Amino acid sequence: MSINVHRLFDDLRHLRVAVIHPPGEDRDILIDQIKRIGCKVKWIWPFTSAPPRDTDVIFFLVDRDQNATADWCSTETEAVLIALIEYENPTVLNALLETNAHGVIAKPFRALGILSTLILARSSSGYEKRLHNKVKKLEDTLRSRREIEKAIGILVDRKGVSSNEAYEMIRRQATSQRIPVVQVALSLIQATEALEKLGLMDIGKK
Amino acid sequence: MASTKSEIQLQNEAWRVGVLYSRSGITSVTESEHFFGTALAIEEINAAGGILGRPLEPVALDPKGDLDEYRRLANQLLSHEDVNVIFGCSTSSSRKAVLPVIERRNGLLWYCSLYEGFEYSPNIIYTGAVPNQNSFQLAAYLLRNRGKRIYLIGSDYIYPRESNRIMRNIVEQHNGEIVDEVYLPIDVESEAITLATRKIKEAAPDAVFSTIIGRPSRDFYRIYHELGLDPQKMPVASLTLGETEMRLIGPAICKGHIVSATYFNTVRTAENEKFVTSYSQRFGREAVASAWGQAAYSQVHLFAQALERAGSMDTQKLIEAVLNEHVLAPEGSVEIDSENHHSWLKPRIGIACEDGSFNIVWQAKEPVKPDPYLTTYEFADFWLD
Repeated sequence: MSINVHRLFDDLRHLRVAVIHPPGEDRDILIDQIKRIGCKVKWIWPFTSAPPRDTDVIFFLVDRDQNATADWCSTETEAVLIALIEYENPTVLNALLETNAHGVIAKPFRALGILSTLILARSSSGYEKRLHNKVKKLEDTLRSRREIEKAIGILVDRKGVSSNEAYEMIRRQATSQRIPVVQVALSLIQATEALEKLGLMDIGKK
Repeated sequence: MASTKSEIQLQNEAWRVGVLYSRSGITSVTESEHFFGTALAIEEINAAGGILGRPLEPVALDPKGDLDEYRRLANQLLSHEDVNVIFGCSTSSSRKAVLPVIERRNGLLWYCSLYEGFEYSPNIIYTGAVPNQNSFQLAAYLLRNRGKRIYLIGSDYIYPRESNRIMRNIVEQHNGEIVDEVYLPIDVESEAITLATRKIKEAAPDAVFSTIIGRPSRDFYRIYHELGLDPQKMPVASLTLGETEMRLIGPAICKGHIVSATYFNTVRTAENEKFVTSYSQRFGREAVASAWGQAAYSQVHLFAQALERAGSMDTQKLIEAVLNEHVLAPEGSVEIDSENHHSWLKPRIGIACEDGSFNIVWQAKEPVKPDPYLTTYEFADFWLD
């Protein structure tokens, strides 16, 4: 076994899974297989108004009457969501798309296929989360850049320094105060705006 | 010698088939008609000497409208009753309930009710209509003849929701308007139906498309009349109202309501004349043939022909055989499409008359290919030809 596969199965042993489905044969097939795979399973029915806590993966029924499925299934959750469906017609597929599921299993359930869906859903949800974080970081950086450029502009304008010198001034402040560069830039922008409001914007200008 | 003996035994043995229709519960009337149609066909086949010299022996169980019972009894038939072929179920919910059992045991379910499509199982033969054989034609008929303001009301389960999705798509594509879309619990009481019907009265649409099923459906037609709504001016259009249900509601108050179906007992074929007569002879003068009985009756005859060809109850052999058969049913020629195991059927539009029959105002020239996944779903050219 490669290290990856080892890690994969190790991971499964610690996985906490919830199954939200009415009692009966379908539920039993699903729960028995998840146990066989080696995960800890918790059964829930009916839907709770909030997602179950301390859970890594939630298998949930996309209800045929579309009333029972809880709202939180359509939002970002800590846990990976896997939808369970009974019909494959547009009405149900539409309901499925409204959920935030990363995998789907259609009835009739059988043991084969549950593991692969679980693995793939975990992996694609993890990938999506990483991408989300990256996008968020990039957005933050982009925003910081705009603020820093604005602050540089103020210094260039008022102190008659070059933009390189202006950046160096901001950076030095940030280092000595041990705060991020963007925070210094923001203080500078806010201070300038405050002065402008008071009609004192010309003070200090060369 | 033992082998010879068992062969002889086998030759005399009956072909056991399962029958799984609810005789009580909210769909008891229409499912009982499924049952009668099935029984009549089996009796005819046996009276004519059975199949390959062996009679059909039905094992009939009654799930009483309970979905868990459908599954339990399907399992009982396949596991303990030595049955491989089941005629049964009438709603999508009950079909879905037995599907896992049928697939696991590799049985063969014959499902004769119309439904909303989007399914294929290698273990089911679907002999009822799918939306391209009834919903499309009904939408076209309503838009062309009744107006563009349609009101949707149905029982809350998958068949009404999916049927309404299709109806809404077509109506809106043709600049029509869905006035409202309302769902009632599947076993709704008449007070709630009255409230819902009052709202229809206030909205005054050009037509109502109802997918309420079973007992509440009959209540709905009665309440519609009691609230003074006139079917001639504002008809209720349906895919399921049959002659038997109409008789129970009261034919006089149904006059003018519209149904899109692949069979009415006023269809003019020699096979239908015989069927209508045998049906009431067998089940009493009060019993009238309708689409529900006819569909069940026809699929048993289709099965019998397939069994004669296959000589075996094996699922794969029967399917192979049935794809080569066509039956002259009361509704006309019926055959199974080899791609999707649904049936080629002839769509018809009927308007209820006060004598409890339907006046067929339109019918397709030829049977229409079943398209359960709506692969050739063209809004532009769906008009009746």
